[in-house]
Parts: sequence; C-alpha cells; structure tokens
Amino acid sequence: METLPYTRANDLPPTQAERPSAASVDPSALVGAWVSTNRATCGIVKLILAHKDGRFTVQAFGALPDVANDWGEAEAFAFAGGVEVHDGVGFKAFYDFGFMKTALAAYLNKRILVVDSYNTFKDGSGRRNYFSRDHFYQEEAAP
Amino acid sequence: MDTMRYTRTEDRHATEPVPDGGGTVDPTPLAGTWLNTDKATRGIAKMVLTSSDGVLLVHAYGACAPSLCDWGEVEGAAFSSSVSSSEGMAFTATYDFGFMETSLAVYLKGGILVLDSFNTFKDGSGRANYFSREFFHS
Repeated sequence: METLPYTRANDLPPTQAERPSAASVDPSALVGAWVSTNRATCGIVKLILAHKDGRFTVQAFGALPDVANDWGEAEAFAFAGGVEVHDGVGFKAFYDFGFMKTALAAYLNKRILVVDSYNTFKDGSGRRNYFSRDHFYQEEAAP
Repeated sequence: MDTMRYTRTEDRHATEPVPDGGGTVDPTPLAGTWLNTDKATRGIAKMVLTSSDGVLLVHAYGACAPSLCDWGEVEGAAFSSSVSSSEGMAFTATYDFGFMETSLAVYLKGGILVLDSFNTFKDGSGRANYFSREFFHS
C-alpha cells in the first residue's frame, strides 16, 4: 500500500488501514455565540460562529467604549484534533480591514474558546504589530 | 488631531501620538533553539529561530523516525504584546509542503514557547485537517 506523505508522526493515522473516508471537519462544537470572560476586555468582546449551507463563518465584535464594533462576517476554517477524527476543536480566520489585518487562531479547551489574534498594521501609523489573547464562554440560548 | 483608525480599543495607543520606531517589532527575544517539552512528541520536535537584520527566520523539525524531518527555513512575522511595544513575543509562519500546509501561531509566555499548528491537507488523502498545541523550552 502506498505510504502517505507526512512531515511528522501526527500526520499519519494510527495505522495505514485506518485511513479516514472523508476529510471534512465538523465545526458543530464551535458553533454558537461566544462572549469574552473579561467584561473589561479591550480586545474582542463577542464571536458568533455559524455553519450554514456547508459554510463555516465567524462574526467578531471588537471592544470600543460603550459599543461593540461589528467586524462583519468572515470565512472560518475548522480543524479537528487529529487526522483520523472529524470533530472540530479549533479554527482560523482572517479579517482584512484595509488599514490593518487580523488573523484569528482559536481552539476549544474544556468548553472555553481560546482566541489568539495576530494583528498587522498596514497604514504606516507606526503602531506595532501585536498579539493578544481572549477567552470566551458560550452564551446559552434563551429557553 | 487626526485619530488613527481602529477595530477595538487595544489597537490604540494609551496616549497618542505614536512614539518613534517606525512600527517595527524586534524578533530578538524569540531567537534561539527551542526543544519540545514532550520528548515523545509526534508533532514538532525542535525549532530554531534566528533574527537576521530584523527579520525572523523559522526552522522547524518534525518528529519522524529514525531522524527528525527537516522542514527547512521560512520567514516568520513577529508580533509584540501591544501597539506601543517593540519587543517580539509572538510570531506566525506558514509552511507549504505541497501535499499539506501548516500554519504556525506561536507566543512566548513565562519562558515557554507555546505553539499552535493548523494543518491543512491538499492531497485528497482523506486525512482531516487538524490542530495541535505544543510547548517548547530553550
């Protein structure tokens, strides 16, 4: 049997016989409204993750005084915990605001969504590209 | 005063205007040889980070048997902890292996390098795209 190419042991299924039949990752565990655990965050206050018609999206809201800044919807990419499983445990997404761009790299840890943002300025303002991290819990749907 | 554009409060300086420095982030604090804290890792075993003329270079080694898989060197993008700090404490980098792509999202915390990798297969092998998280010491 042909050996799969790999870059590290994790890239290979436990046995070659256990090749998964499809590569899709199910983002269901990530879907929902997520609220920052830090009420005073200066970063991201809320995320809405949705999966509709096969499209996985994120809508983020930035913290501004007295208001949440709607960043709009961006395509998100779901990742599983290994090559042989299909439950989504992480995602990445990109926002391009023109004057800056933000890459989101996120994962689930015991029902807390940990979101790292890597922020790059393109406007020559002299601001340094910066990293930040926010934690989110899932907002319960109204009964 | 012309207020800079922002998406959230932390995009703004605590006090404007902007300090000198041209917006660059110094990757030097990230430089060094970083070894996985898990000697039996099946992921990334080692990373060598260098700073060359202000540019971060990333050289990763995958856990393969009998010897490590040398991924080669790629350029990384360094990030600081705020818009006002020039001290590098995080980076991103991407490896395109042809059959798969690996995005690294990494930050430094308490002397430990915390690495998240987002791995996307492009070879139709049926393997699921996967996330992994690893820790490195220098």
